[in-house]
Amino acid sequence: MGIQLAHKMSSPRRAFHRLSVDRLTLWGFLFIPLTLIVVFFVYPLLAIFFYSISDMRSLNDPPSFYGLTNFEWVLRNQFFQLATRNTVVFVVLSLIGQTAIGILSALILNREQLPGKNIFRTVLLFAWIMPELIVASIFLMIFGNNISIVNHWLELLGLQRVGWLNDPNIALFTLILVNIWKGLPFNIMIYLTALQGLNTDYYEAATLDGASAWQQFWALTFPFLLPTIVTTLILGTIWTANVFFLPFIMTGGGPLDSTLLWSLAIYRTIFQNLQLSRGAAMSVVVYIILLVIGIAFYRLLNKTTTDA
Amino acid sequence: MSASAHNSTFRPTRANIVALIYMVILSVIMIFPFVWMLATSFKGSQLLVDPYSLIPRNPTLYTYQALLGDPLFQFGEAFRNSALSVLVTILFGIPLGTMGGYALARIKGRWVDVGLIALFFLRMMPSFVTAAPQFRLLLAMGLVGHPAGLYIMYIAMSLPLTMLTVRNYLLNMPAEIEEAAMVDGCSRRQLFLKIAAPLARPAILTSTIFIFVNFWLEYILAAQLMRGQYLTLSILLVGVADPTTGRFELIFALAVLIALPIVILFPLIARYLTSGAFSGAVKG
Repeated sequence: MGIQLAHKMSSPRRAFHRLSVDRLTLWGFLFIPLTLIVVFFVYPLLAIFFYSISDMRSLNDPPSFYGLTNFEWVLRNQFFQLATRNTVVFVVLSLIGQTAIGILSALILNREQLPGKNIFRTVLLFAWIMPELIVASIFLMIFGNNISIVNHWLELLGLQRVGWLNDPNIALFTLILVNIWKGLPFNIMIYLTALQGLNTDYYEAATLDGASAWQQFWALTFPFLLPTIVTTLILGTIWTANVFFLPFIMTGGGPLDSTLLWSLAIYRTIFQNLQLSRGAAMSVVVYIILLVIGIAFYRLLNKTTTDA
Repeated sequence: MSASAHNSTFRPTRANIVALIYMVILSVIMIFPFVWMLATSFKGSQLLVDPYSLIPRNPTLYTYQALLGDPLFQFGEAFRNSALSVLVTILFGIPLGTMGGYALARIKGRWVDVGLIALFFLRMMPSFVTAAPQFRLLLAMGLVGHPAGLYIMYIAMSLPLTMLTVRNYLLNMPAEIEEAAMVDGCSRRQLFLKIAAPLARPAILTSTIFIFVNFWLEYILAAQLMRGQYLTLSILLVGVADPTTGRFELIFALAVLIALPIVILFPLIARYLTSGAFSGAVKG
């Protein structure tokens, strides 16, 4: 019977049947991955919202309605305020450094006839692929308190030693420096790729008109790069706000909480102080702030691409 | 493109020389920490006498022998556990993610777009946020401290990136081959297995690399969901990387051993990350 039916391919009913079976198979492909994502990834994210309005003081407390008291606590908490201040400084300075050095390097290196370009690309890729945990372990020694190769160099030059990781006024900037180093390969590669799509004819015309390199950059290159910059900043903001191992390994948030970032504050509140609901409220506040920044950048992106 | 673009020989103009010097300096800054790590790992007990040289005066394999030979460090166990979690994640995450990515490339509709945006944000979610509810989930399933619980989490957390990478790659592939095969009576399952999956090979390999790099040193879930029942390399490194112990040569030797698989696979990694499939993964 089935074989006979299979020959009546042209009937509309048969075609409809085939179409719906086809659609069903496609959704079937999605079923297991989607279930796994919803159960083990989406549900935990939603659960954070429920925890934040409960009063859970350990990892196994049952949730119970407690209102917005945790949010009040978070917003008044001086450690969270300190972590917010530190994270804003960390993210803003890291992104400015990565973007500025990234674009500058891409502009300098964007010429086809440089020898050793492939080696350079390999080096960038290698530094980019190394896990944050390994990078943090290495830089713990480079800027360390006992053994510090940077201080050794400073002494060779006849300069003073610097408390890279144990001076509360400096430690955060040391972490920013390491984070700029860590994000630089990605930024250089992105801007080098973007610059390859730039039409050089305009520059020849601009040079003939007597425009300086500085004027050419702001009139031609910068507007051309703006969509790439905004996209990279969206990714960079989230990545930088998620940086965990640099303070966790290199400073432990110290000295005097000067390198306490949101990531470490949330981790400690939940897993060391076991204040699950308060940590959940922190997470919610942090992700609302990041979402607002993300939407603002996204609007800027739409504006820059429609203007261009 | 200007005429100079076609000229592949290096002309020593001032701008070119500045660019070359800049490139060399930047390369040194990017590679120096790893070179110093390698050098220090061979210094053994000489470290305190000779901490800053790039070439150890008396290179010794002592630290490596201690790490690999002394059962106290449990390096073998940590290595086996980390390797096993990555392998299991690839074994299940890649086929499931490829199927899901293929479906996302072929189903059209507003819900798919919403789902894609959700996947994009999910893959950005750090595990210090999700780890607590994930811990409670495993607790309810009786899987806290059981490796299977960790594997399930890794597989689920690897899926968004794999699905997006495969989907973006297949979207740029011409659909004509599949349409022609469909007219010939190929079922969706055959289309996927015979045409789409082989076509998506670069995207699949890129995703495999990402799983390896992302989960090889995963720390927060391994530490919090396994509660000391499952020693991984990341837990071992975090335990050793304590500046108060002063055993820097140990930290570096351990970091070298942990980085070794990444270094060995690096030529393959470099090939696939510079291919087109990578841009799909970044754009998300």
